Amino acid sequence: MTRLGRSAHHLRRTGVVFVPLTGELMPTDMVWRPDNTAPALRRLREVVTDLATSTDLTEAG
Amino acid sequence: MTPDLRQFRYFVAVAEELSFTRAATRLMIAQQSLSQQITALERNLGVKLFERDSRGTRLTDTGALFLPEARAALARADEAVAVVARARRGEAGELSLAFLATTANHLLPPIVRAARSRLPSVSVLTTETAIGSLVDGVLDGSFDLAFTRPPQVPGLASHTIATEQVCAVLPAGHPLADRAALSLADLAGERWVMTPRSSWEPWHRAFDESFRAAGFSPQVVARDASVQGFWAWSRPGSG
Repeated sequence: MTRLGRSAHHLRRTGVVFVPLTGELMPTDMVWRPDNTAPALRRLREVVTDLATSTDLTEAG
Repeated sequence: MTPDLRQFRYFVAVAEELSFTRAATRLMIAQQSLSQQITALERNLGVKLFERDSRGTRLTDTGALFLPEARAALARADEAVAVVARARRGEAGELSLAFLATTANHLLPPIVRAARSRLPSVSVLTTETAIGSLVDGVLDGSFDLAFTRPPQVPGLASHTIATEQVCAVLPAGHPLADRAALSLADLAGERWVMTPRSSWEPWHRAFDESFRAAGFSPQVVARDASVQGFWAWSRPGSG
C-alpha cells in the first residue's frame, strides 16, 4: 500500500481503493526565488492565486 | 548622421497634411521649427522630399518612396516601446514552470489555460519533473515558478494554492478497503511503497515524523518515484 493525495484519483486504476487518512492533509505550493523580480512572474502568481481562490485545483485538470 | 524618429514623425505629418501649417498645428510645434527639421532631414538624406511653391506642398517622387518606409519605421518603434511597456507591467516575457510529476495531471491544464487567457503575450514553458530536479531548477534559475509539496526549501518563497486529503491507497479486497476513513496507526502492519529516500530528504523527515507519531516504523517493501510504480505495487497481490 501507499498513500497519495486525493487528487491522484484522476489517475485511478482499477483494483485500488482510496481511503481517507484522518487528520492527514497535504498542501500544494507554488515556489519561486524571492530575488526573481520578473514582472511576468509577479503577474502569473497573481493569476494562479486568483485561480486557486475560485477553483479547487485538486479537482481540476 | 542618421535621421531621428522625431524627424520621421514630422515628415509623415507634412506628407499626410500636404501643408506645413496644418502639420505644425497637428504636431503642436511652431511652423518655423517644423520647416527647420524637414530641411535638416532633407540635408541629412541628400534629397528633397517636398516641392513647395505657389500651388502648395507636394511630395517629390523620392518623398513618396520614403513615406511608407517612414510610417513602417515609426510603427515598429511604437511596437518596440509597447513591448517594453507590456514587459514592465508583466504582460510580456517568457516564464518556465515546473510541475511535480504527481501534480501535473490536475494542475498543469488549468494553470496553463489561465495564463494563456489572462497573459496572452507571456510565453509559458512547462516541465513535469521529479522533486530533486524541480528544487535544483528553481534554485539555479532554470524554473521561474514550480508547483510542489512542502516542506519547502529554505530561502525560497512559497504560497499554498490547494490543500487536499491524504488517502491510503489499498488493493481492492484488502480488509481495510471498505472503511470510510483510517488512521495512520491502523496501517502499522501493512507493506508500504514509498518514494526513494534520495528523492527529497525533507519529505522523508516529515514522513518519519508522522509514522513516529503514529507509533510504528513502516515496513517498506518497495521504493519508487513514479506514480505508475505506486499503482503497480498497490494492486491486489502486491500490497
